Amino acid sequence: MRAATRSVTLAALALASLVASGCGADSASAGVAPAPVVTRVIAASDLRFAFDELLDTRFRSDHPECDVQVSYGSSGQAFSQLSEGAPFDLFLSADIDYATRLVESGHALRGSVFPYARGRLVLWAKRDAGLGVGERGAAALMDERVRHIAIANPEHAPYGRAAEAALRSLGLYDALSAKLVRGANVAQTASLVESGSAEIGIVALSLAKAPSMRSGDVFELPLTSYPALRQGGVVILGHPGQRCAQSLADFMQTEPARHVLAGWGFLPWAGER
Amino acid sequence: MDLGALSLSLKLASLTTACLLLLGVPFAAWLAFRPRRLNALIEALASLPMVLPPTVLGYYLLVAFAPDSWLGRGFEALVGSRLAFSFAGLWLGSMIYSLPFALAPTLAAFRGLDRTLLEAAATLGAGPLRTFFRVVLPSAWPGVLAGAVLAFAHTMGEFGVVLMIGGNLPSETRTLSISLYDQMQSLDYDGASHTALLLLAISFLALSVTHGFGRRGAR
Amino acid sequence: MTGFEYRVTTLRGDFSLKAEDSFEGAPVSMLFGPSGGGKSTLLRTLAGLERPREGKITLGDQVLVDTAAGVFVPARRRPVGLVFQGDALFPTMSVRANVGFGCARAERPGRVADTLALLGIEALADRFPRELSGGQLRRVAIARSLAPRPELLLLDEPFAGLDRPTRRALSGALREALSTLQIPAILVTHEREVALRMGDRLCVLIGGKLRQAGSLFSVLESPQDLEVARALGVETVVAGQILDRDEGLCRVRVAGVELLAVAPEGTGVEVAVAIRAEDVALETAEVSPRGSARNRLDAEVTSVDSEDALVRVHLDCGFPLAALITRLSAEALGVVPGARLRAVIKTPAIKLFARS
Repeated sequence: MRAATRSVTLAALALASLVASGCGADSASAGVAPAPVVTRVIAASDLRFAFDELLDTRFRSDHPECDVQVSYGSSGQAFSQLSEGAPFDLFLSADIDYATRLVESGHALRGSVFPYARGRLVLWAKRDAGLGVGERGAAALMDERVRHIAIANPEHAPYGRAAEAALRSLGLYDALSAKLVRGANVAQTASLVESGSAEIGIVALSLAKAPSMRSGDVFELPLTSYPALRQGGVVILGHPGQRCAQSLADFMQTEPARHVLAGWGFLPWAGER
Repeated sequence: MDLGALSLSLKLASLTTACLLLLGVPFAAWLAFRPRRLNALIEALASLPMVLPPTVLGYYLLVAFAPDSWLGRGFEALVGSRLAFSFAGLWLGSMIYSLPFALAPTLAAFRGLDRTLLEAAATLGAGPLRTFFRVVLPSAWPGVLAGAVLAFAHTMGEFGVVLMIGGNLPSETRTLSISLYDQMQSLDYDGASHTALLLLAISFLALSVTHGFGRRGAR
Repeated sequence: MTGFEYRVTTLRGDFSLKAEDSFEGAPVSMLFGPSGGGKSTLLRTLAGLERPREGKITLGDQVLVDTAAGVFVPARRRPVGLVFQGDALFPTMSVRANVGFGCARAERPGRVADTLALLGIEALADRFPRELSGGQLRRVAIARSLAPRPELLLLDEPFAGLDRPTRRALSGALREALSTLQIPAILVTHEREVALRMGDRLCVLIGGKLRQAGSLFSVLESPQDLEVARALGVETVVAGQILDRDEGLCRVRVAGVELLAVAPEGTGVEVAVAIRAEDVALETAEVSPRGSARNRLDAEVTSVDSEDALVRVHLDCGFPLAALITRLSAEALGVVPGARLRAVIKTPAIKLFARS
């Protein structure tokens, strides 16, 4: 039993020190105001960094009564969860059609669909890979060193559908389809390339601007090569955080919000086709 | 490090383990001490989640407990929330998924007992309950504990089932392993490595404990 | 508690067991027979750990089993104690806790103290089974079964694995305890020596059938049939033919030698002749005897086995014969292989069994 006791103690110490050290304050602490309402947002993963900044710079301080909790994922996955009654209050989709369909199916508040941005697609590869993405653009995809090309899954990620469309319109799809690897959503796609599992990827510009993605070269794919990424949101019915969701939806359409989004590479879009 | 996710995982693992002990120990005793021809089949069913891909389990749970099914309605009536996107749903998934891990060492410990001890207890006038608590448990407790520790560690690390039915709701279904997945997608590698290290430490701790008890039991 | 009576039939796969016996008072009965004969099964059936296919068991006024009436009292409700072959002591409990396990809480301290004293193991009260020797473990197991004061005690090979001095001490302690408490016992053994040394009664179980049961000496003196005789350790069994019968005696020819024996029942000619080694005496060949023994045979020693104070001598008298004599006599007579002696067998000691 002695040897076991020793290893148990060591492991317990490791555990304890880890918990102690890893304590960087992370989760939003409860506000000073009494009992803030939990407002659950499910957002497209290309919004990861942009939306966090939006919340932190203006919304949280202006609305201490709202405890906003965000989950990110692919818009298609979010759509199917919301169709099953997932308890979210606000949906920010990378494809406004998902939002509209939720109104039609009765899961979302009629009249609350709103546009908030137009997304942009980029090629991304690590600078160290030496593919020269910045100079060669789409030609870098054909480099013989490229074994895997990461895109988001077109089945349920709008950025994945756009990536596939871009490859087709560039005439590269047939040649490269065998090398495609599909991330569950566009953020996971970015991490596939960043971690080196794929040599190059087609990701959202908003993600490429993240600090952790600074190690890469970016090339924006022409906006005409893929159907516009029309991003919109909608308030979800039936859950307690609806009022805060509405406030957040309104906030998304204000000038300061648009300014932040623009800083992350989003193009303004007011709903016109 | 997401403390909310840590506390959620701890809560889930503790609750699952406690319930598995309460239900699993009598179940293991029933399997070990009342042999029936059906036993092999029942054991296979109970062990099924060990080899079942977690996504399959998640899928069948979602289908079986869909809101308009009678199972789903019953669940909602009993627990107060639906199976999908709720902590209660995670609990049910964990119970099923970790059952074989709790059952196997406990069952082995019960089976490894000398049967004549039980017969001796009977000749001395002890009924089944007294025999269980005075004769079986004092000898077999290392196995029971090993089962509990394994179930705890397994639930802590659970990912596939949680992903399928949880919905990644912070504070409600974002467990530590989901949090790790999230951190990877946020490219927050620092946070991810802390989380991963913590999960690793927990697994290692669980293994050391079960090995220590394994040796104790063998004496 | 006045009497114990049982009659059971059990089937276990291919093996069938059929036994019946009864006694009054508190005798020690030895249940004896070769290994595999069903002794343990019978014991377990009496204890209530197995259900007989058919039968009835009554202890005093209590009916423990009556298959015809659908009565079956399970082991835990029978006032019957069982000492298992491997002791089966509870490893996580002290001797004191083990011994007190079957007692009601109120009586426990008193009973435990009394029973430990009875078996002479008070000093071991706070030790644990893993610290004890074989003999000590056995005493604890016996104490544990006796503490609840059962009305019948069953023991399965209680002397197995113990050396001779330990056995002697244990059998003495056991007899005394049983006698003090006036508890009848049935003791299973496959060792002839144990069966013949201890016990007031002897029950012979061969091949799943209880062949003979009765007082020790009556069974030894009059084994019911050849198999029982063999089981009881008759060394010499040879074929013979009855030449003639006269007034309850008969002359039997065995391999060219004539013997005088008590005539068996029936009129058959072919018989099996059984002679216990204990009943064969040896003398030197020169002596011209005038004694009562009618059977004096010339014999040559073929081999000699030494057993403590006794010597087993194998002889050739025309047929193989075994004699059991003291070492002193063996030395005095010069018993070595090749020596020529005379074997002397009393007529009543020659048992004849009709051969079919």
